[in-house]
Amino acid sequence: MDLSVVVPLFNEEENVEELTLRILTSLENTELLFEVLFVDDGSTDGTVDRLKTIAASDGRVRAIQLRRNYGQTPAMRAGIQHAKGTTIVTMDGDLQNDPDDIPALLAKLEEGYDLVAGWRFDRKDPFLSRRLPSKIANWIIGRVTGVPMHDNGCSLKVYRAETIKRVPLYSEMHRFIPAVTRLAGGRIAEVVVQHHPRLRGQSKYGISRTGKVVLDLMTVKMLLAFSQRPLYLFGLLSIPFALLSGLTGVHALFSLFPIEGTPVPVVFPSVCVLLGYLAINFIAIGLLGELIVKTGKPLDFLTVFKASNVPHK
Amino acid sequence: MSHTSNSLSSSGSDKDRTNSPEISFLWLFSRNDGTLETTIKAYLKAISDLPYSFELVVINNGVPAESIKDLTAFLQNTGISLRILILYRTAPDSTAFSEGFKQASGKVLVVLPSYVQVAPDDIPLLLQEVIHGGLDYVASWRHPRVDAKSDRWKSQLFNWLTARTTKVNAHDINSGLRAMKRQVIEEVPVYGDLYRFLPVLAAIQGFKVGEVKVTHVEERVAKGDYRFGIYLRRLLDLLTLFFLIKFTRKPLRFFGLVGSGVLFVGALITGILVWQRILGVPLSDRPLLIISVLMVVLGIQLFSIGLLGELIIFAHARDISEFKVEKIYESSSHGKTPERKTV
Repeated sequence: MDLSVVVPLFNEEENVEELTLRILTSLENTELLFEVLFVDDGSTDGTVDRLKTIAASDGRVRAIQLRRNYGQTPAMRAGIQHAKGTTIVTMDGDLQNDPDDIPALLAKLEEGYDLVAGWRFDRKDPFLSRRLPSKIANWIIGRVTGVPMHDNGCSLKVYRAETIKRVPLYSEMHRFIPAVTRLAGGRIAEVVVQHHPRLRGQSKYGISRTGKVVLDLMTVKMLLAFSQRPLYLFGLLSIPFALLSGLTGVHALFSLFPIEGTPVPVVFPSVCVLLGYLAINFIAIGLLGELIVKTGKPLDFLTVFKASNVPHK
Repeated sequence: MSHTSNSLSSSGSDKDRTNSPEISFLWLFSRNDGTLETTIKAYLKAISDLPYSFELVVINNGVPAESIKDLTAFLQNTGISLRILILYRTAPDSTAFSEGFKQASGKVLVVLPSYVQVAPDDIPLLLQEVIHGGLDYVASWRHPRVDAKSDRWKSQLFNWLTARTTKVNAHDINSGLRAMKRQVIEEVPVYGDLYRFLPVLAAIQGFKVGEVKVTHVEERVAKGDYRFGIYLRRLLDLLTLFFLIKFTRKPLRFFGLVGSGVLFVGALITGILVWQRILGVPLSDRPLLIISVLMVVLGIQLFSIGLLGELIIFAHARDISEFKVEKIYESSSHGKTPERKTV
């Protein structure tokens, strides 16, 4: 099969039918052998029933029902794992992405990329609550990971199946797929796509996630830079504390023999000990990290990216 | 009975059942208080008339086999499908039960309390829910309770804490009688002392969990078991559970949050002290500096432990799927090979 369109759904009963129709219409115009793979992420409305009907009546549509609501990343991963196509498209189920954009993304992928991400150039969301935070987040993610993307949050993306199936996709990593892919050697392109305002159903996003995203970003940065040699990271971190400890230590040494009549110094020796403790602790944690990495699974997606880096066709 | 085998099965002579009965009853005891035989008789009386095929898995958790010879003889003479599991040393309940679950072959598993804690006649209520009611796990809720007020309060507090921590509303997590589909025990990892939280873990895995009110008959507090240590252990279990539920895949979110809080306060105080030093107050007069630096150190350390946690997940668990697929819908006629559409 050429193409799998993976669509995670959570309480989208009002949108399912139209979405199916639109995807099918857009793809029927291509010569591709395709499937549409819906992933129901534990919806509590009638989404599953509608999916059941659609899947039963159209052989090109399949639906995976997850046992409960797990969140967007696991739902996406479920779809990707079950997808049969050699190319995989992911998109949102809220009709804000337009399936008509898929052929353009596919064409770009054929130029020799591993991932083509949609860029919602003319985004139809409220500015203050959605677009501004997203702009800031994209800028920060770009700066930290070194992979500048205009729009990390756009779900409409096209991947080579062999690559995306190997990208570690857990927790809420879907935001960082481009960064992980690029730094693992994959080639990435962006294509401007359309964006429609939400017509029906509830938006599932809010601004409350900022703190989590920042921490996730640190995780990604750490994994990208040091997941093979954690001791380098913790060794690096221990340096400033070791230096400070040394400085305060020297100061403490000089005051070991206080001049008659002045109070015995307490603060500097203590600070020296605490900082020295931290520095040593970092080394210990780094060594533990080495142990963890060396006993864990080796990174296999790196080699895959290298192999698929050669432009196709 | 042989002492060298730790599992012995004797199936009934005339009422021989198929290899996998509909229900496995598991009955675990850790001490012989002289009422074992009356207990199992009460249970057998309640369950032998049920319209299901069943087996009984007896888990002898460290009680010397000679001291319960009569019980064994009685059980073997009843003619029911029987399995006796002998642990030579008393193990934690979760370990003993997981050994028992391995031996049980029924489609539905029912755990019986070691003494007549709730009315045996209420067992069918639970079975009804599991077999016909669509639930995967049914807990019993001792209501109203008959034990001492102070114990009730402790229990209520614990259940309330559990419900708050896990967001799974169970009224009586410690009640011994529970019934579940086999699938639950196969898919929910139970380790340490987390066995008591099985309903919570099952609910988190997406199983349908419910509870049924049962008649409370008697509450026995085992002597020596309920010292202070047990409450500490329960609280630690709860902490483990809380961490596992919310942060298994994102440890930095937990440690990072706590760590950055501590780090922020520590850095703030240190900053103020250094500023005042510049204004002329000598640092050697400020013992607060030690606390603030300690907080900075602690904050950073918590953070690095979080990073270590992320490394563990990434190196060891990045391929473990976080989701369970309930069903896949595809059209049977041409679901496997979609037709090629041409314009």
